Amino acid sequence: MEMKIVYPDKGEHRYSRKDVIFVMKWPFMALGLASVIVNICTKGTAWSVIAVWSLWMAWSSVFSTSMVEYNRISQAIKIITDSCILLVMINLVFGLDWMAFVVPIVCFGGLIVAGSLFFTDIQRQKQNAMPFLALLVACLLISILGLSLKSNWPFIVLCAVSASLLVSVAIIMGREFPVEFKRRFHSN
Amino acid sequence: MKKEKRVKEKIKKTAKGKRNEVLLDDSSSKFCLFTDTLGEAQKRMLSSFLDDVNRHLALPKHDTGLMIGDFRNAICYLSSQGVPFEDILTRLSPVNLGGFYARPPVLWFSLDDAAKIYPLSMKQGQMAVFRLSVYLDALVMPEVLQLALDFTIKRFPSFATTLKKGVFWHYLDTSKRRYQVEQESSIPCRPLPVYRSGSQSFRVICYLNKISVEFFHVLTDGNGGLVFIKTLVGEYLRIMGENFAYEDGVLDVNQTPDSKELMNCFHRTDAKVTESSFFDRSAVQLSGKLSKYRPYRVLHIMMNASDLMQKATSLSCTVTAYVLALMFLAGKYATDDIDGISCIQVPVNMRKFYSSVTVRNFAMYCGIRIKLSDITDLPSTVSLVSQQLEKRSSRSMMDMMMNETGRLVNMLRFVPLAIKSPVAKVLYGFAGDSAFSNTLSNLGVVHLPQELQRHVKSMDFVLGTALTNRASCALVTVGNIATLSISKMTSDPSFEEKLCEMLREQGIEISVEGSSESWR
Repeated sequence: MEMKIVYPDKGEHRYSRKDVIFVMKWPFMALGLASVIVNICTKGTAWSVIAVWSLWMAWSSVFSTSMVEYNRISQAIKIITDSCILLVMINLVFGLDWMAFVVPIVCFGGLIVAGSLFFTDIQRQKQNAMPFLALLVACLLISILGLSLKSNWPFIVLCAVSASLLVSVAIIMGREFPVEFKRRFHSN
Repeated sequence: MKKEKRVKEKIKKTAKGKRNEVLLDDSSSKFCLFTDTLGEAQKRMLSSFLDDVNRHLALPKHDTGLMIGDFRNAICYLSSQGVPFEDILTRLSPVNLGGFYARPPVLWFSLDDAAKIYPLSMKQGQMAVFRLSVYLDALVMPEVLQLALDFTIKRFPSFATTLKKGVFWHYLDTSKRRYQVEQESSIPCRPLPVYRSGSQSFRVICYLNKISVEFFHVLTDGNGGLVFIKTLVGEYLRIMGENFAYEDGVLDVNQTPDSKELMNCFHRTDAKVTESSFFDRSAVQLSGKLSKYRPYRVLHIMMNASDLMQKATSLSCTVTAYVLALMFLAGKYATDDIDGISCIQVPVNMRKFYSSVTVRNFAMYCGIRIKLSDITDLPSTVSLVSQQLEKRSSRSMMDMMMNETGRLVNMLRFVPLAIKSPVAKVLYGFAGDSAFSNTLSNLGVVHLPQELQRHVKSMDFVLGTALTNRASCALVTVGNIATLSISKMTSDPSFEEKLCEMLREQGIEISVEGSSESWR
């Protein structure tokens, strides 16, 4: 069939993220499956849960990243949240007793990182405020819950830092603060 | 020596951060050379003009610099075309920027009912994008098109947005920025990088004499997109010196947007019946290995519209039914399946049932299903298609579907996005478009003001990628040229070959254009 080409030349072939995902999903799935099978065969503690979660963390942070609102704050928060879940898993699976001490410290570190990212570029990062607000609220709730169960200095610090950051963000955003909630929680 | 240094400094300043710029690298030097040719009075006018531009801009420094660059480039271009200096300043008046770039963003839009599925179901390399292109009678000047876009975008507030994640649904948040004209690439309808902060959900592209706009379906449907591209082309031609009346869907960019244009019109039906279903039995697919890169190829079959109309009239059917019948016959030829049902999805513009000026999605669809064994010759296929098309695209059927959509949206409204999103991906992956063999979206005859019509040679409408369908077709007519665009997802050429063969046999004059083949 005779056809006139009216588009530019296709140029050199470049590998896209889709190609990388297509190639990498097999080793990731194989590793996950292998760890579960080995864990079942060897019995003992359920360490494969930690292995599978770690693989998921690597997969979702490096390869299959979010397709909407993929920015430095949302990524930082995702890594902090995933890391905290991983720490809780390690603690529970191996029957350790440092969760109430380590997790709030990691959360505190995360707040400092996310806060720095937010406050160093306020004008632009206002658009990405919601993930940061969600982290602040989550940290505040965790610390209040933690303090009601076991009073230690990491929870006190986390509670103070998250509360003060929350107030600061609310002041900076002003009237946009309730509007942001309205947008994010709309259901129509 | 001093002058050279000044030029170099300006180039350095303008070039900072100029990624993906269509504009010429030597724009600043051109502008400096241009200002040197002006008299003192004109220089003062120009300086006051640029100050006025600056007053209309409250964007980040980088975007402000680029927009001032847009004005400079357009001034240089128009001046090189011999347009009088005062006339240039009138055409490019900063009043056309309005207050859009000077005010902080406040608006946000919840997605309309049809748009809600698109961000939920998108995957890496897979996004519902469609393209509208206008072919002009002369080469398109990127510097003028960029300024036309700078002026036009404020008229479409729901387009000047970025996609965001809510707790229950995605939404569109206003993004005040310079929306950029891009260069054409080899493969049309590539996914848009909507993940970035403030990223746009459409792209304006220029190539030779063609202006194209690719839209992510969350913004609009074909008819809304048509209003946008017509207005953009109108603004481009106005800057180039054409005078015309704002009619036939060409909007005045300086008019305040009407709230009716931004409405989600899916709640307008009074009918309460909901019998329609989104899930149907799988249809026969065209044969051929699905390409990894999609669309694999885009073809434009340009037909004589009068011939096409005449043929349809001789068979007592509409142009849509006639083309559908040809597609069923070509589809049967292009599949290895012997029995089964062939089904073509036909989007239906709801604006024809409900008077609406919305530029957002307001379309439903119906499926024309015919057994492969019943697809024998053109007259009988036309008859089967016509019967079904009349019944299935009727207002009552569309109302039912609209109700069903509303019911589904209502049912899922309080399910968090974190749950909805993976479920929708899985469901869409399984069901997806397998209920259809192909798609035909007919935008109909596009009317333009007479002064614009003179400059528009033709148009095309390209549908983006499907999951399992090997082809998606779209038809649009301007003047006496009807363009049927086929987005192919496979290298197997049998479908389009058969379609062209049948059109020629029918005595319809055709010519075929398109893209080169993509990587398999």
